[in-house]
Amino acid sequence: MSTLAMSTLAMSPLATTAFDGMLAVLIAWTAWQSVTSREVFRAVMLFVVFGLLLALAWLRLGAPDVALAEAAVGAGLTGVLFLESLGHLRRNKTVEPPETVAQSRLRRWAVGLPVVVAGGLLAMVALRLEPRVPGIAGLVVRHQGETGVSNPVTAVLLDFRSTDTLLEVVVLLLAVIATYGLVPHGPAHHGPRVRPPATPRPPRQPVLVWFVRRLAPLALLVGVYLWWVGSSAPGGAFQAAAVVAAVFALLRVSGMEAAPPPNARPMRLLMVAGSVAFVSQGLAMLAAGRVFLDLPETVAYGLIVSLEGVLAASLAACLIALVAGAPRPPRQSGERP
Amino acid sequence: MSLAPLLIPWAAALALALPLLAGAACFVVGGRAAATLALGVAVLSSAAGIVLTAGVEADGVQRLALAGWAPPLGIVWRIDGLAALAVALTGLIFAAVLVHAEKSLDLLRGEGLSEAFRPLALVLLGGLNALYMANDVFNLYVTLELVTLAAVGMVALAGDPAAALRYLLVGVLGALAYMLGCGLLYAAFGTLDLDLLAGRVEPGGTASAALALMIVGVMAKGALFPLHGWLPPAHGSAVAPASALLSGVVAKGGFYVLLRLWLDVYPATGAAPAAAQILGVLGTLAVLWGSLQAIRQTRLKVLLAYSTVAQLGYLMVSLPLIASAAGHASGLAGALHLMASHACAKAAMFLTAGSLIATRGHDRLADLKGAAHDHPMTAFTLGLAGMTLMGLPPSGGFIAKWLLLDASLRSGQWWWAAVILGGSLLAGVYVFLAVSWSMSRPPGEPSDAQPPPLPRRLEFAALALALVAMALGFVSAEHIP
Repeated sequence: MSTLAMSTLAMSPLATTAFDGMLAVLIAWTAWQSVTSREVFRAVMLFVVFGLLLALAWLRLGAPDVALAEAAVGAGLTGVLFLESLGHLRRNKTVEPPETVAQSRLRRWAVGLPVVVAGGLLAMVALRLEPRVPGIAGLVVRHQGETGVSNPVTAVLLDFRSTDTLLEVVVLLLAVIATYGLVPHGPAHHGPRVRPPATPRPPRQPVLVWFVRRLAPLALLVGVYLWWVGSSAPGGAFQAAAVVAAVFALLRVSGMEAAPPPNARPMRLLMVAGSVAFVSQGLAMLAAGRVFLDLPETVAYGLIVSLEGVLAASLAACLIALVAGAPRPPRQSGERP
Repeated sequence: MSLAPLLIPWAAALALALPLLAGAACFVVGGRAAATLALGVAVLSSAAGIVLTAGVEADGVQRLALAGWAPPLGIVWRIDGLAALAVALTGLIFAAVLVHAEKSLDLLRGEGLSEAFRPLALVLLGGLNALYMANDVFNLYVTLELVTLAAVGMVALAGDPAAALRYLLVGVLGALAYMLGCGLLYAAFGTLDLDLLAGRVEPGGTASAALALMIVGVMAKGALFPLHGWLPPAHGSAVAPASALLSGVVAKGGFYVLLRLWLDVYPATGAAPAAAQILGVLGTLAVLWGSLQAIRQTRLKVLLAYSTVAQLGYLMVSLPLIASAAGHASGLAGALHLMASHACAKAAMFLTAGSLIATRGHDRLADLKGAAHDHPMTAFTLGLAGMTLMGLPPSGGFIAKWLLLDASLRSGQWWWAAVILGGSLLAGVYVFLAVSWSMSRPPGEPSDAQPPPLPRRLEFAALALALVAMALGFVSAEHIP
């Protein structure tokens, strides 16, 4: 849809080139500014802008699915995670003293020079690159009918190369497991229910609250839409989950957080549901005399849409848990060793 | 009729699925049931590896088209002798480590740590099994990411957060380099499958740049010299059972991918044998630097971590041998033997370190005096596993080094033989240091006081692994590849 919008703008070739050139320069500039900024908050903001510009570049390259993922996960969610970490660092006053100008300049060159040299070499290789053998795009189109979905990206992610997607879903769950492991505590049923991290609530700002109240249900609807539309157009479980998690982050920022207790068993069950459903579906096919992770043509559509639904909910739970951070230990047992 | 067509798909799928499902379960519930489940799944995973090994033995290399799609559209798992044995051995090491961890972690840091350890270990096991069977450069990337993230989580569990963060950052940089290489390969040759790539890759700038990026990436992830800096603090500070998994098994992950690329894609790029020689020289530096640093250490776990840097160096030294025609067979067999026996031996040594820490509360070498008097079995295990590190007969390490020496002499590259022998002498020094401290008597009168208690299962878990490392010396290396 977005590519369509772009092409119907009917820009002249000159205007297109000028736009692309500007985009390329802006991307490089925001990246450089973000890396070299001596103020962390500014760096994070520039990183978010960088991500959005990058999403625009993906759109120009005709990859709206990647653009959506980049905007939702790369810019949005990563930005939120950075801001949360920054807030946490400031509250705990563990921000290291800023390095001197000379140190920072030295570091800039020490990192920048190799990056520029490596980037130049890469650019040389990339510019002289001529595909000897075409990629799999033609094959995807030819076999897409057997997957039941009409979005080729979804066909690749949930059928042709579903093993990769399964492992990526597990990576997200693993991120939560590793984060929770940072705090010594037992699993859900041990001890009293864990309090959510005590963050001093920011004062409620009436305009923000009014706005977020109206935005949140709409954004939630967008999340559901992205899941549903994924089978035929850009969208899918990861993007839907990112939008739902963003709703949570918004509520959190505006002080209306209804945080699910991160250590509660239902929350943990939801977080593992995606990986468990994916693996179980794969095994069920094996038990039915087919191949691990196979999707029979007749039921492929239903299986993909339902699995994506479970994945969207489960991934959203994982992302929300990551935004909320590790639960605090049940007992105030002093410092970590 | 052969059973392979029936059993192999199940064994392979369960080697991934069971650890993942069990890991998810252990994230939700804990306690004794979870501990039993984790141990059972590790044993089953090892059993799946044995089934795969038998299948490969009977019917040769197996290819499983996952989701029913053949490459280049889909992904296959390739199960050869190397992958099958890796699955079997990894499950075994995990089982021993889990037996140890259930007791030692709670002794170390109080209740709760073993609960957090379990899901991480199980997801790590599933990731490793998927890594061994992967035959697609992007699938390798995803599995390597899964393994790295689980490993970082293990370091962060109770180790030094700074070391964990550095490990994560180096891992991300390595992943980026590897990913760029994947992109170049796909753009030029239209596939990610290793077998197809082996047929399609043509010599040229693109292939060389791609391979160079990917090799740098896996070197960073696998702590291969000079990108090893993150390993000693990470493995030295993690809780001992985590270090056993990291140094024993995970550290080989980077080299495993390097070997896969080396055997399949590298020959087609026509890159000069100079690349092999460069990696061999880096390996030599790793052996020297790692061993000398190990000798200087005052803590057992850090000593063992530096020893891992050195032992990974031998694996790099095996590359120029594998690249030569005359030394290919014995060089490869030697590298595989070294991976297998070092995995068991190093895991056993870290477990003994964990046992000592569990009773004494520290692993300072100078204060380990009297450890052998109090816990003879643990000290015996340390020495037994150390024999493999030194390469003394009849250990698995001896066979490995013998094969590597044979390869270097056959291919006329005697200088690598000198590295292997010199490195073994240095290994002798640091193993002797570790063992001698524990053997020496504590100052003062020998007392009849009761030694600090050490649960039996901790000692047995470590001894079992040391015995496996020894037994590998009796396994013929002929049919491993």
